[in-house]
Amino acid sequence: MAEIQSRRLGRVAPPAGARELTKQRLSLREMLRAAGPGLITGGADNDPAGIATYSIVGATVGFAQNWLLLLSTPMLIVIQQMSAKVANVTKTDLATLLRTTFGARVATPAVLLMVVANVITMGADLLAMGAAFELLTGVKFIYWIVPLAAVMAIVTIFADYKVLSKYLLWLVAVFATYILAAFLSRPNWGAVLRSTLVPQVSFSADYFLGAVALLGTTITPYLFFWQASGEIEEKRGVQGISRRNVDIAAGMLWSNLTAFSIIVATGAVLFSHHTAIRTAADAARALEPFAGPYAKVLFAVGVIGAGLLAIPVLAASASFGVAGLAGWRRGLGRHAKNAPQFYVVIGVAFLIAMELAVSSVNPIKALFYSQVLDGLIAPVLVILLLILTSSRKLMGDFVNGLPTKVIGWAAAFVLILADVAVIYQVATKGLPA
Amino acid sequence: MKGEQPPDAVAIDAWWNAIMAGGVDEAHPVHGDDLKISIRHGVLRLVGTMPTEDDKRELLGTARKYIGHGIDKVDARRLKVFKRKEKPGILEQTLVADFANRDVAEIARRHLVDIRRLKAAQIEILDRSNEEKKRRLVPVDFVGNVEKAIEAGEAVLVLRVDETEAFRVREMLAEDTRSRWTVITPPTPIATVKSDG
Repeated sequence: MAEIQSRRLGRVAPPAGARELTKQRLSLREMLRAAGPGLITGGADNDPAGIATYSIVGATVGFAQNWLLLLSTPMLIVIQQMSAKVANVTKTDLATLLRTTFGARVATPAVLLMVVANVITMGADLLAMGAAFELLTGVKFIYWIVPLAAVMAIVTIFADYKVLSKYLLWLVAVFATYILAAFLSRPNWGAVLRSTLVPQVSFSADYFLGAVALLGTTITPYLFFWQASGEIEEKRGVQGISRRNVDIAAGMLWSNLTAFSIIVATGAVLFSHHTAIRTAADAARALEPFAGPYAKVLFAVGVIGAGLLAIPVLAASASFGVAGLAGWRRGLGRHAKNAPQFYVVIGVAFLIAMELAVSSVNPIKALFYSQVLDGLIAPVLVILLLILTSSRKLMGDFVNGLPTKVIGWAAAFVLILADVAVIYQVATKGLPA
Repeated sequence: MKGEQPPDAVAIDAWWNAIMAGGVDEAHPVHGDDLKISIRHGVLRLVGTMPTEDDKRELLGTARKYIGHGIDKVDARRLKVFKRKEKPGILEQTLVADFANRDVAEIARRHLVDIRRLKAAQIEILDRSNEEKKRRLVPVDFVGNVEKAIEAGEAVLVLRVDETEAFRVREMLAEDTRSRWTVITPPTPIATVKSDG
C-alpha cells in the first residue's frame, strides 16, 4: 500500500524490466566493433566436414539446395543467439541446464548423441586434414592422422586454445577465396538466384541425404554447446546481449556466405561437368577458376586451417557436455590439474576419433555421413533449447519473443521434416551410392 | 587472540607456501583459475586477470616479498586488471544452493564470505528452524524447490548478488562448496528509489 502511494507521489522510479535496462541501440560503428568472437564460432561451423558436405551438395545436386541455406541462415542465427542468451541469463552451461531442467533421462541421451556425432566428425575431419596433407606432399593421408591427432590433443589440453584460435582464423580466411571462385566460375546467376529464392524439392534419397547433411552441418549441435560454454568462460552476462546478438549474426552470416559460395563454385565447375567428388583433389577443382594450378594448395591450406580450428572445438564441446552431465569442473581456461576429468574426456575423444580415422576407408563419405548424423540429432536439441528459452521461470524478462519462437520452431519443423524424408527414402530405396 | 590472521589471509599464505614448494598448478584461494603461475630460472611469472587494481597490488606486494627467498624476480607483464564492460548496480540475481544440513551450509557460507571475499546483498541459510522466511527471500517460482529440500531435512543457502557477480558465485557454489544443486533466478532490476530533488 505504501509503495503504491509513493509511486503515485512519484517517489519510486517507474518499474523497468530487466530486458529494457539491458537493451542497447547500437550505431553502425558499434555493430562493426561488436563483431569478433562470433567469427571464430562461424569459422568453426565450416569445418572440413562442412566444406566436404557443401562441395558434395554442389557437385551432386548443383544449386538445387541453395534455398535451404537461405532458409537456414536466420534459423542458425536465432538458435545460436538462444544458446548464448540462456547461458548468460542462467549462468549455466547447456548440459547442466538440460540435466537440472529435464532430468538425466532426457539430458543424458541428448548430450551423448551430440558427443557421438562430435567424435565421428572429429574422425572425419582428421581424415580430411590427412587428405589435404596428401595433396600438398604426396605422402598417403593415413600417415598424417596419428601425428595430427597427437599434436592437436596436446595443444588443446596444454596450450591456451583461445589465443591460438585467433591466429587459426586467418587460415580459414582462405575459404573466402570461394567467394571469388564463385564469381570466376561464371555460374548462371539467374539459375543461382532462382534456386536460392524458389524452393525446389526432388524426391530422391540423394536429395534428402544432401538436405539433412546440409542442415546438419549448418545448424550443428556442437555449436550450441560451444556457444553456451563460451559465454560461461568469458562471464559475459546479460548486459551485453545486444552486442552478442550482433556478433553472433555477423559470424553466422559469414559462415553461410562461405557455404553458399562453395556450393555455387562446385555447382558451376563440377555439377555442370557431371564430375562426382570422390577425393579431396576432386573437391579442390572448384577453386581452379580462381587459383588455376594452385587450387589444390589453396584448398589443402584451407582444409588444414579449418580442421585446426574446428577439431579442438568439437573435442571441447563434447567434453563440456559430459562434464556438465556429471557435474565436473570444466573450462579450457583451467589447468589440466584443476579440471582433470574434463581434459581426460578431451583426450579420449581424440583417441577414438583417431581410431575411427585410421580404420575408415573413404574420407569424403565419412565426412558426409557424420553431418547426416548431426542433422538427425539437431531437431531434438533445438526443441529442448526452445523449451528452456521459452520458460519464464528460467529466463524472466529474457524469455523468447514471438519472432524468436516462430523462427526457432520453424527450424525444428524443417529439421524434422528433412529427417523424416531421409529416413523414409533410405528405408524404401536404400542408401545412394 | 591478538594477531590472529583472517581466514582468507591464512589460505593465501598456505597457497604461497605450496607455490614455493613447486605446486604451481594450485588454484588461488580467492582468484581461482583466473591466475596462473610459473617459476622458471628464478623468475616468478604471474599471468591472468585480477578483478581490481587493489587485488593486483596486493598480489604483487606478496609476490615481491619472496624475492631472495626462492625467487629472483617477479614478472607481472601479463597480469591484467579485468576491464568490465558491464556496470554493477543495475540487475541482481538470487541463487539458491542445497546442502545436506545447516552445518554444511554454514561452512559453505563461511568459505564464500571469508575466503572468496564474496559481497552479497543478502546471504541466509534456511532450514526447518526458520523456513517461514522462504517466501520473503526466495522468488515465488523457486519456493517449491526450497520446500522440497527443507522437507527432506536439508538446508539451503540463499544469496542475492549483483548480476555481474552471479557467474562467479554460481561457479563457487557448484565447484568449491559442492552444493547438491544450485538454481539461479532470472536477473531483475535492483530496486532504486529516486529522490524528488
